[in-house]
Amino acid sequence: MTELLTVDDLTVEFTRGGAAVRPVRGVSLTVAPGEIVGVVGETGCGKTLTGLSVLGLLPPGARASGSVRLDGREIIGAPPSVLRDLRGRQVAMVFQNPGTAFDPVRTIGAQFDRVIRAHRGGSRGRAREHAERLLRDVELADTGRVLRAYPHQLSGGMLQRAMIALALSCDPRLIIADEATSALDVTVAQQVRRLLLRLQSERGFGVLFVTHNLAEAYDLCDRVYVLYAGQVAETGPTAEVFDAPAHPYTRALLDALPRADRAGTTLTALPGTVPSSVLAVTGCVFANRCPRAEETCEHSPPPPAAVTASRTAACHFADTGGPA
Amino acid sequence: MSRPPGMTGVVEAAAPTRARQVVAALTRDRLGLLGLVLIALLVLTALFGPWLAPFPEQGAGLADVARHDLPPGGAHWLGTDPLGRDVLSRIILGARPALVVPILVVALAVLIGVPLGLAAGYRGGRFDEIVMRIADMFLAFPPLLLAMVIVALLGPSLLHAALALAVSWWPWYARLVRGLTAALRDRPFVEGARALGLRPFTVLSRHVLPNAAPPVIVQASVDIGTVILAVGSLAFLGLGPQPPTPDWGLMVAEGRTYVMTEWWLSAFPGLAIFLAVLGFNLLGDALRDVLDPRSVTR
Amino acid sequence: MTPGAMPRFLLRRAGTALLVMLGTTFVTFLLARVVPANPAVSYLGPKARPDEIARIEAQLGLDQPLPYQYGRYLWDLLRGDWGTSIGTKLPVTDEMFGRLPATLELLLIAMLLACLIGVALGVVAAARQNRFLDHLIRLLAIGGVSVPAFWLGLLLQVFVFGGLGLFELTGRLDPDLEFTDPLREITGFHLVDALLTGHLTALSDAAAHLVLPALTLAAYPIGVIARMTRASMLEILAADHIRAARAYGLRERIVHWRIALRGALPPTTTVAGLTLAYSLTGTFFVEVVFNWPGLGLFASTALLNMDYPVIMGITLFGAAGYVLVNLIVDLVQARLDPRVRLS
Repeated sequence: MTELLTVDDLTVEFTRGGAAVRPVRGVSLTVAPGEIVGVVGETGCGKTLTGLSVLGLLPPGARASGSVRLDGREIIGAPPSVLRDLRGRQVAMVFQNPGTAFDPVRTIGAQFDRVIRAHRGGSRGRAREHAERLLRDVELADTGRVLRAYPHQLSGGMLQRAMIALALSCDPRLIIADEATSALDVTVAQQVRRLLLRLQSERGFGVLFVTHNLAEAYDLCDRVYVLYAGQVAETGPTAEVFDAPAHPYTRALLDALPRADRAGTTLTALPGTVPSSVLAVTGCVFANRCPRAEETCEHSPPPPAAVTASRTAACHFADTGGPA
Repeated sequence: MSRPPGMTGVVEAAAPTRARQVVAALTRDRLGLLGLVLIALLVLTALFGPWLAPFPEQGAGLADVARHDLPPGGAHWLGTDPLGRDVLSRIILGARPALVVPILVVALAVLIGVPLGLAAGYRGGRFDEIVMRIADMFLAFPPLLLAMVIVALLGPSLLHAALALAVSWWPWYARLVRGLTAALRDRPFVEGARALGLRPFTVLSRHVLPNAAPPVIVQASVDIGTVILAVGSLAFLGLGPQPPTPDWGLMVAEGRTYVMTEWWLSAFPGLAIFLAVLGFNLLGDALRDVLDPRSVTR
Repeated sequence: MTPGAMPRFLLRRAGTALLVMLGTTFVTFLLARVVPANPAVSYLGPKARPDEIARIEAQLGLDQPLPYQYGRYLWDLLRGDWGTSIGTKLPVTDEMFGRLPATLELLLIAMLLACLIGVALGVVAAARQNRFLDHLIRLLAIGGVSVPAFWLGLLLQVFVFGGLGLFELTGRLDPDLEFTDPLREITGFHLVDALLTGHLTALSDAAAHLVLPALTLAAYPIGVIARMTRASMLEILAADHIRAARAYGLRERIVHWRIALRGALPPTTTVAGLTLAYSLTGTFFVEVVFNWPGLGLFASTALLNMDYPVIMGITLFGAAGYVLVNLIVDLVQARLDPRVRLS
């Protein structure tokens, strides 16, 4: 099967106060056409930067190495004109905070007009018709009012729907959703998730769904990648990974989650913190917090190892399905 | 009195780092460094003027008609004026009032404006309303216009110019400090201090003032430059020191009549004003980057 | 936006402006009647005879209580009786309105120059942040706000007119033109009048007279506007919606000049308005240096000659102009930034 997106050994590096910082270290992942792939992990694990790398939109000063191929086209090191053509048309992004991702001094309509006509050309009238179609598609009823409104006049949920519509305006094959529901109320977030699922099944685009919310990933994603300190700790089909985690970090994340079927049990919190300088760690980056760490974990970093045919985990003592 | 734990103001804990930040920023920022150099030159000239000036007796106005209207060069680096006075000496001797008067003006404006602003912001209510409306009335005039009118009423002199400037400058500080105080009043460490029953004066001086100080310092450093310019402007119009005082603004005005032929008479004293103002503006700009006024109110 | 929000906003601001104006009349009243030992003497000048003083005292109502005097002062102002100039013996209002076009023409041309140059410098500096060009523009901008206008004007006279022989030294028009081919006054703005009457000689002559004073007056606004534009551009270029615009594949040219600059306009307009107000006093110095026959030259002469009614008139006039400019800035701000209207 040809992948829509192939990220191979992606590393992102900054220089901060003279020292190198590597928030993303050798991440590899794939998204097939029409597949919803989750990237989960705590704040600062490198998931947002991974998403931005796919658009070639890293913040100033960041350097990416490795390979990011979208539909076979290399993104890292691509000239600005190529990137500009890809953005919006091949891959579009839905941002975390819809309140700030729209230009505050222009109406929503003007912003749709600008993006639509930048990629498709045509008249203002045609662009407006297209924008209204898109807004109806994301279940925004009063399209005329939405297009006339300034961002601060709409609710967060409406803005996020509008942003999804804008992302879909040029029929991209891949949508990157970066914490797309995190800033919304719980019920609104659920509506937006349903909307995204419906649009995805109708239009068949692939989704790279970046989130810190495990329940959300469980709900939406076909496969997940669990990131820890800039590396993939574990990957596989969502149900398998969450039902029988192979990596101790995944297990710890799930144990920290309140669950209805385990009412009455005590939630366990993960002891310790992410190492402040992961570059100084010679062994497994998770070793200092891992309940099962042994001598080898301190010295040699575990390579990703197959757990089953469709799953890998970067752990010397990965659970392979049998009882621990 | 022992300080209750956790009650220290924000600045007290951060003071050493902040001082170090300021120094680091000034050395890193080349424009800020240039400002410091210009100010240092001005201060040195003001301090040692009478010993630096090649013809100190001419500064006061002693004429030497035999050597009038000499272009720059020779013994008179910056030339002489129609009365044969050495331009460089007069500029050097003018440095002291040019620096001291604006510092006094800003100090006076701070002394009036800051306490009023503190009290208005802290007490609020009717008092706040009255003080700020009075300040607004002063601020409703174009800058410098009020000062010009006051000097004209009192009669032109350096003292009157300084008084007039201070009187029209304090509302800026009152408004700035009032805003800062009102914002700080509701911050937890100030509320805590009040809840402990400290007297308003103690709360203001220990907890509010130290945190309101950085923006005031930035403003004052910029304002010294602005007031140098303002004093020079008043002097240029004739609303400041009178001849034969060696005043920079007055020298520019005096040289104006001959400017097309003897450009040095106006050009060099004006350059002195420009460099002095530039120095304080460069410093203020560099300071602002470290002690951003907005960062305190947030 | 709710219908009627704009008029209500407008009314509120206009109301505030009126209150502030009332406050300024109070200040000028105090300055005129209370500060001087004997207002009648200062009104007439130092050489007044006793009988004149007595007459003026009665005329000004100085024997009445202060609130009554203030009321009368306000009433006179409202009637348009702003007193008579001691120097020219003409009504102060006539003198001021006659000179207003000259000052406004100078001020508007200077602000136009300042906005164009200042915004362009600011955008370029922001695009080249921390590179050589950025440092140069920052130095230039700080230089612009530090330079004494009266000195810059003299330098331009010496080096541009005297050295290069470019433009004109002083005044608004070549005085010879008055005799050979006079310019008919319609609006009092020489550029506009020359265009309206098709007087091309006068047009180019008026422009040549305008360049140096306008540049001198523009130095300060250029500096302030360039700094503000640079700062707001940098702030906006780091904002989420700029990243979003790039994520949707918009060109850098559009991101910079359309989206970021458009967002930087509200704060830039505010400082442009403030510097325009500041430049009201700047005209005093520029008009003196370039012998420009406007309000500033008139006022500085009045200040030195203790022409009392003129001084008070100019002060009130200046305050009115200042309040008006600030009101206009608020309104423009509300047009440019939709968030302001609702707050």
